[in-house]
Amino acid sequence: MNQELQQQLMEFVYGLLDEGEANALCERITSEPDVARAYSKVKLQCDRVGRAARIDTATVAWIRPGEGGLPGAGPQAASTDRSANSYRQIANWCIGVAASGLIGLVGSAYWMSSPRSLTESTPVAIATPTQLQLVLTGPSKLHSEASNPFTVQVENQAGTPVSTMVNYRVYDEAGVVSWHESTATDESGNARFSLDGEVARTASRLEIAPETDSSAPVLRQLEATPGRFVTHLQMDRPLYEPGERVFYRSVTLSQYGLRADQEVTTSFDVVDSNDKQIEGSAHAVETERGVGSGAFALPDDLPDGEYTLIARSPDNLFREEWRDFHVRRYEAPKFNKKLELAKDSYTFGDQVDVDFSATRVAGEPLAEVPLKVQATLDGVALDAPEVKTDVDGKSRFALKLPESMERGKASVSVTVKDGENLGETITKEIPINLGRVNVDFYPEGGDFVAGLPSRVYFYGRDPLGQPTHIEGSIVDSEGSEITEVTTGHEGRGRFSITPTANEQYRLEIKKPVGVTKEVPLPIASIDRFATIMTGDGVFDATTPIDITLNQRTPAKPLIVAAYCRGAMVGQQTVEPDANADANAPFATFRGEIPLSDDAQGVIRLTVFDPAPSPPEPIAERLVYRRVNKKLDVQLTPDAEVFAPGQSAQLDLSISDENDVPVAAALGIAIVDDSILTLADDKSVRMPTYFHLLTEIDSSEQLEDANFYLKDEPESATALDSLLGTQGWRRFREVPGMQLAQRFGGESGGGGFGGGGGANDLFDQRTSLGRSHSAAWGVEAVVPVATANTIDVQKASVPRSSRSERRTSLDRGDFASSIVVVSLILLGLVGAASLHQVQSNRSLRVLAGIVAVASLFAGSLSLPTNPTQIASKFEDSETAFSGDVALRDQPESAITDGDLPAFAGEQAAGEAEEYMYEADMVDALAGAATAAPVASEPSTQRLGTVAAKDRNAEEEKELGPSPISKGGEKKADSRMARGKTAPRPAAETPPQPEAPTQPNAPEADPEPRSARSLMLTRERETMAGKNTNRELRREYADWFFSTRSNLPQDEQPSSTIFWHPLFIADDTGKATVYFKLPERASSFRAIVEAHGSARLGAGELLINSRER
Amino acid sequence: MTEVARQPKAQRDTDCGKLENAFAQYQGELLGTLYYLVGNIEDARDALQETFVKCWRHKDQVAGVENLKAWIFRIALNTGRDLRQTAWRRKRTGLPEDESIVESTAAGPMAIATRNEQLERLSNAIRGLRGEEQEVFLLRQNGQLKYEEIAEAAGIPLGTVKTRMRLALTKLREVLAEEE
Repeated sequence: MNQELQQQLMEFVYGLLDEGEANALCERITSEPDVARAYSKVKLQCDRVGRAARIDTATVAWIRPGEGGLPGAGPQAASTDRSANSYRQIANWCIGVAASGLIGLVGSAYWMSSPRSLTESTPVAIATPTQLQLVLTGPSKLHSEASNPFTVQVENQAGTPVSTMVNYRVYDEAGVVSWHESTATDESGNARFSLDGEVARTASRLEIAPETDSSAPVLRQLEATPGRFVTHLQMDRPLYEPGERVFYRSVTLSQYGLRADQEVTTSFDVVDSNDKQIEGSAHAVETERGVGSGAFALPDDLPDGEYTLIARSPDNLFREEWRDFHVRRYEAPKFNKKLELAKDSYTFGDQVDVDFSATRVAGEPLAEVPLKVQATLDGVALDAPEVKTDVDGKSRFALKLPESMERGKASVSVTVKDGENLGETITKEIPINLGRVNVDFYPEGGDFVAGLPSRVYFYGRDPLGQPTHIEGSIVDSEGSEITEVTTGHEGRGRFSITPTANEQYRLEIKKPVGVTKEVPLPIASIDRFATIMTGDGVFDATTPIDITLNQRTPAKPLIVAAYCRGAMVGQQTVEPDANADANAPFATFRGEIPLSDDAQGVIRLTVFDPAPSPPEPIAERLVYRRVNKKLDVQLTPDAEVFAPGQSAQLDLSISDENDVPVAAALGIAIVDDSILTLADDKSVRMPTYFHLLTEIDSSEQLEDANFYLKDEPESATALDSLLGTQGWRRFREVPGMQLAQRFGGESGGGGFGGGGGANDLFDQRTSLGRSHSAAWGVEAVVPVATANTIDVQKASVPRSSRSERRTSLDRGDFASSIVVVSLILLGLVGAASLHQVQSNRSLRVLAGIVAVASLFAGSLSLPTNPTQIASKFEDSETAFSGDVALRDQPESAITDGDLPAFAGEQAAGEAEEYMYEADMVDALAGAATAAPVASEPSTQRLGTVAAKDRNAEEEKELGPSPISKGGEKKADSRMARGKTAPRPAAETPPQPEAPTQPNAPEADPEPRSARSLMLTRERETMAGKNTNRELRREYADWFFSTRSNLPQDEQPSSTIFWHPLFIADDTGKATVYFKLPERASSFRAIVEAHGSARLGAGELLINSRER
Repeated sequence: MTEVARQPKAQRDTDCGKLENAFAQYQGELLGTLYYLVGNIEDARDALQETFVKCWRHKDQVAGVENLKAWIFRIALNTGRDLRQTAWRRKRTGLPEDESIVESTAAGPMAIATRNEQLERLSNAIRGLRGEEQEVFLLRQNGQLKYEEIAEAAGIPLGTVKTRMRLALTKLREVLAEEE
């Protein structure tokens, strides 16, 4: 940077320039991008200077005069003496406490290790061993982000629950205890504990022992599944013209925790409807805060049609994600029009209720405007009413379908005019069903069981797979009506029935008219014995899940496990009621499953029969637990209505569910709403995607996925029906060898992409915008032990008094404690001496002697076999092999189709460094710029990132930060720390830089920004420290309309602001500055946020009207 | 009766609270300023406490003070100057310099090391300023005093204040330029 300019800018920051000089510099900053960048850098430097100039320490306790210290003593001397006295007292206290503790430990160890002699008062039970039955239930593998709940059931041999304390210990691979706890059993003999993610990551073995008299603990091998990730893909809009630029953003979060703790490499490309890649679209980035992004200029000669943006993980860390978009030339509409029909489909003689609304693109309703309605059926015009809009620009009217029709091809068109202007028309097809329907039935829980109360979900579709409205009745073989049924949202519904054996029920359809074929229900099973019902299926955030289990008598114990996004989050053992009527045809259990608070979203409930080995799943369904841990995104413009060409400011405020401001990573898009309306955009927002769509099939078939998560009763009913019609996965055992062959690796550890089978299975899963294979769910028979599966381990432990083995164990523990305390005491004495604290010298000497002696004694007491501590349980296992029935980790026959997880550890420092960079980026960004930044797309890179190039020229540059004219105070306050951006100068139109095309030879190399310099410096620093970590970050451009100063007859750009990674700081604040184009329209600001394991989204319509 | 005694208790409590809140809020800047004035952290802490005591003794003036921060920093400046010259100050070993500057632990170790190095250089640069330049710079940077207020507090002309500030910035800028 020019030294003179830097000096001038520093003087400007510190208010040394006179008014004229300051104004002149402001002008330059506003109009010259280089100067603006230099200013941003100088601000950062001044912030660093400020940090160096102050000293942050813990808050001092101010001593008021007269409240402390010696009267009359100077404050300086008093503070000095007070400091020295404090050090002495602290030192003496530490030495005294440590010495006392040491003496206590030695004494306790001696007492504990001395043999007892039997006396008359010695309990006889010592000599009489009995057995306890332990049943340990928990996930087959631990999840590194979830709570991993376990249940231990303790009974005596008669099956009576035992009241006792249960000890748990977790050992890591080195044999060191990494976690331990004790809980008491309840009246049912159950004790519960959880292993959180921190423990789960390093856990190798679990030991459980009833504290009461048991000498042989139950062991279980532990293993954590590596983290899995899910990616959401977003584009600025779904409709483009050839030559326009496509902006996209991916957010990759851990599947369960929804955290961006690990950065991944993401590759993008665009393909046409024949899956042919569009040249120049390939792009690969490493995410930052989970965000990857890019921009792609569509070729000018790109044919109209449907295209697909694909995001992939070269490292197979997440499944492919797709977003479809359309390319065609279009005329920007002058009105935003909507035309909606009340039902999913219609039949002969139906009345079609139509809702129409229209606004001008600037947002004003088209009030009191006559509409021209035309409707046709099989080429013949239908009677159409004469209507006009109301004051809100809305209108509702009805069309009557005839009692007969041939082909059933119908549509309705509405033309609206605004004065003498040319009218615009919107047309919608009227879905008519001539009696051809497909109905799928989904008994709740999976099985239709004779004699048990059941609920059955059903889904009606036409031959094209579109939802169909159905009205009818369920009748038995005699034709007697059991219940009436009607579909609700998108062709789904539910009814209740208690089927009898050998009865053939069927659905008689009244609407659509003309259905001639029979629609039979499944025959009720007489082999299956249990069903599950879950009330409304949608639960509040922190409430347990209500369940009702019906079982044929005699009932048996069952286990209900709850899973959320690949992790077990709760379990409940269901015991038969001993007082139940044995002659009753079935037994009912009603209860709750407590879940960890962070288990929110789609919850899978699976009922297991624990009797077989491995436990057999017998029923399953999905429910939804509302999300209360979320981000609230508020958008506040600085005006209610704007004028074309006006500069605008949008304040963003992010807070959590407790209204506490939180930091978050934001994706911001401001797009012409008329184009979104034209394209009938129903893009799924991030919360809906991560909490719902990742867990269901055929999500792309949903008309409006966001509808399901609204706080409306209709939404809750629709959501329950949606989840109830997801089907359930039937489980089959697959021998381990077959599993290995299929997945090309160890069973359960093949890894995504390790073999062709794994990829196929994953590819068959649903993804937005792509039809999915119907094979999934039918052939998913992967019995892989994961955090999604359950393991039940039973063991008998002898119940006896302490044995010699346990004594030696105790001795070893105490000896270790003695050694540790001795070392601490020695350390304290040494530190006191080094700091020349004026403590009692004799005391120090005595403490040192005690410490050395104890260290010597403790060392002698330690077990001689260095592996004895770690392997003492193996010894006990050997000694009690006849009594303790232990099982190896079984291959569970349970799967949900999830693939084995993948390794992917990240150094903690890397994550933090990314955060640091993001902070610096934010500081440099200075928010919205008046000029777009030319970018050079990165080199195409696909495949595993093994060696990345550190090319500083690949760094993207963030735009300059023009400021408005004003004094020093105004500039300083508005450009504080770069977190907010100043207003673009109203008088000076932005000077856009032409965006470069890939490989364009005329692209000017961008000067190195301060940010890119900083990144380069960091790389050099790391290189000097012999690190092989690679930095490579790409950012989509700060996009600002390049056409704001173009003649109005040219096609204006529809995306006026785009930023894929905008940071709201700890105050939860961020501000966006942008300039509206020179045309009246409405613009939709869409903000998606993630941070602190929470998601949020907000939208706002910004109206720009001629005045 | 003194002026203080005639004030209502509520007013006195308010002034006391204002003062303590102000010291809590500006503690970092005050300690930093005093650290550079007196040369070591121990003396700086003593000076900070003494500044508080002086302010406390004149808390009756708080209600009438327009810019409390500037007022406190003026007193801190004088206290620092006094301590720098007093014969009572004992030589003592300060804590290691890097403990004087507490960095956020939000970043990883590598980033912290880099940032600490940068801050260390800047700290040395501030320490290396001439006393007059240092005072002006710290009053402006930490105390946010206007140049007119600095001129009044230091008893020098406004032009001299600005000149010293420019010189300080020039030296700091050279250190910053070395990092590029």
